Amino acid sequence: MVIFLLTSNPYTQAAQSALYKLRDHIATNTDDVQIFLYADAVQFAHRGVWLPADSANPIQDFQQFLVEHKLNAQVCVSAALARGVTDESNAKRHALTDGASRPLDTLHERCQLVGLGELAMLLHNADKVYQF
Amino acid sequence: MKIQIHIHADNDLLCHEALSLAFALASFDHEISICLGRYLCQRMNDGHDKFINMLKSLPLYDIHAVYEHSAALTADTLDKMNQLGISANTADLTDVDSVFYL
Repeated sequence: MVIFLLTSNPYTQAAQSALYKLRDHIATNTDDVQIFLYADAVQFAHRGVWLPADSANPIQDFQQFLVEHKLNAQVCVSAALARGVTDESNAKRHALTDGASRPLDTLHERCQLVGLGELAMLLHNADKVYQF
Repeated sequence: MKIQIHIHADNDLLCHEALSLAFALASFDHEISICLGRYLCQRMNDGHDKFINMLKSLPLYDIHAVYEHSAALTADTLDKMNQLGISANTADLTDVDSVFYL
């Protein structure tokens, strides 16, 4: 199993390198790939990001990559909530609502909110770990 | 897994997340060491209680901590590090399975 631990802000060179490496790895390997988003990289899981058409959109690129390859990303729940990334159940739990008092749901469908324990368990079974 | 975490973050949230990661991984039987960057050392010297309490808890999780030596660190900061039993970095990166930079 290969783990990609993404921690960098999506708009940095490191995050861009992560996407290149992910694409390359998927294209040339058949092993199990696990993606974990932590710290500023949880913004990759936000489905409410818009940028002008003439700007690079690494978040959209990442989410398209997940969809194309039917991959999922695990996302640290506390890091996500600190940056406005939430699913409906966590929004209800923490009273995060929109202007009409509906619970927020900003999490991309290929991403799941989990605790850091999930990463710790993955690392026990990892053959290789890449961190960006 | 033997993991060293370098904390070079330049804000409180990222420093807190880096320390939380160290505690979480150590709780699941990973062998963790951390290297504190300049920002976190300075926040310690500012008297940031949350960070000080987190660093005081490191021995409970068998986490070894060092700090990245920098000429910008004041004598007060170095004194604070000494009080917490944190020494200058002499860690051997070849002796770990993974190094995380946060």
